Amino acid sequence: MLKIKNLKISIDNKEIIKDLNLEIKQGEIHALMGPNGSGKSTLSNVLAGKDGYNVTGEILYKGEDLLKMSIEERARKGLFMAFQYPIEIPGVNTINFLKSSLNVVRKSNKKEAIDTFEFLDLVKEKAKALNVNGSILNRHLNVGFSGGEKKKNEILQMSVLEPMFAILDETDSGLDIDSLKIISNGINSLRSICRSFLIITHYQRLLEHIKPDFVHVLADGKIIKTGCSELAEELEKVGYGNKKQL
Amino acid sequence: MEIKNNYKKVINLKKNSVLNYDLKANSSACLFFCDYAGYITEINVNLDKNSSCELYGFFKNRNENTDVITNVTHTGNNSKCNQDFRFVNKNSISSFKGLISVPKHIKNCESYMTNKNLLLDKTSQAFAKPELDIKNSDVICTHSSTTGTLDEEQIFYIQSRGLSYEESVNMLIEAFYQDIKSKMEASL
Repeated sequence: MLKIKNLKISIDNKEIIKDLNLEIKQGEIHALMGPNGSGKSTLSNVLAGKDGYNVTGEILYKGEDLLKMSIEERARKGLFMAFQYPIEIPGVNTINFLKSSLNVVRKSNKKEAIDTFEFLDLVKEKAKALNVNGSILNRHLNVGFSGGEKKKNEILQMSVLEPMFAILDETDSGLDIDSLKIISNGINSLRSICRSFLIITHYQRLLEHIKPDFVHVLADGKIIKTGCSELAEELEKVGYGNKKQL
Repeated sequence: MEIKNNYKKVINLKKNSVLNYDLKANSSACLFFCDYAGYITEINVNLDKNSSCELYGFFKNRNENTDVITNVTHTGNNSKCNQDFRFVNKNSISSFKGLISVPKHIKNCESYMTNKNLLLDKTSQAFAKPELDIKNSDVICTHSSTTGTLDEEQIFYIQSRGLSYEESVNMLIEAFYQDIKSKMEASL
């Protein structure tokens, strides 16, 4: 699904990702952990196509050169990023936004546009399954949403768009225990043999709910260790400061 | 023109115009200036006692310059006015000059003025001169003007959900005057 080879990312001549290699196969869940400033969010921004980075190396997504694709092309080909800080957009209604998004993705996959009634049923069903309060749908996108509502809205969008590859950038940060459960249930319900996930997190907490196939530790712009879910537990005990012990 | 009862109107005069509205006691008016650009429009409003007026405008300028001048004078006690004018400029210049006047002997007035400008490129400019001429302290009056450009973070977010750059920009332009547009749709 996703193959990253010798990836280097820098901003203003400052090297953030130094040499990163990672392969995520179809159906796999990978967790990427690491201390603040280790380059986790930079990596997810580059995967989503954000401008302003100097990138060398190779990223193949479903066999195609991801770095050559525009932001929207990536989204239309099934790549989804749940933002660490979802952006507030006053004047744009959440449900209309979601409908526009779903329809452009459907159109590029040669599917017919979904009509309003069908769409409303779909969103209501998804919101109910995720235990997300439907009232956020009629408000402006992320405007005045609580931290938890913003993150739930990201997961709801993911659930409606049904991506092939989802990046969750610190989706668990700032969530209370109940919201964390709702969000992890949502992610688990989307788990499938054809869908892959890259879960970026600081804490093991989320990984208690979502069992990853692999856990990677990112430090100083490199993956310094890869293991299975036990690695996350170990990290919780020793912390990122004791990298040598890992 | 004289307004004696309730008056609502969408105005899209495609020429330079001077429009005078004389609101008589206890009357109200709701005026929308939209769907035209490239002209100079001067709007003069006199508000007699207990009258209220709402003025809304949105202008999408493409390679053209639009000037709006408003003069709102509270000539009676307890009169109210709210005005909100927005400009989206692409290779264009907009100018908004608004004046709220409350003479010394007029009491208990409320008057609000908002101007927002969105510049889509580096060749665009927005001029704003929101002014208050208040001669007594028994009033509530505000004026504000903001000018900004599109937020790249917002565009990135929308694009990351599959919409093209152009579609994202259009969505943000619609969002810029969405509340005025929905007020207009609700009142007609």
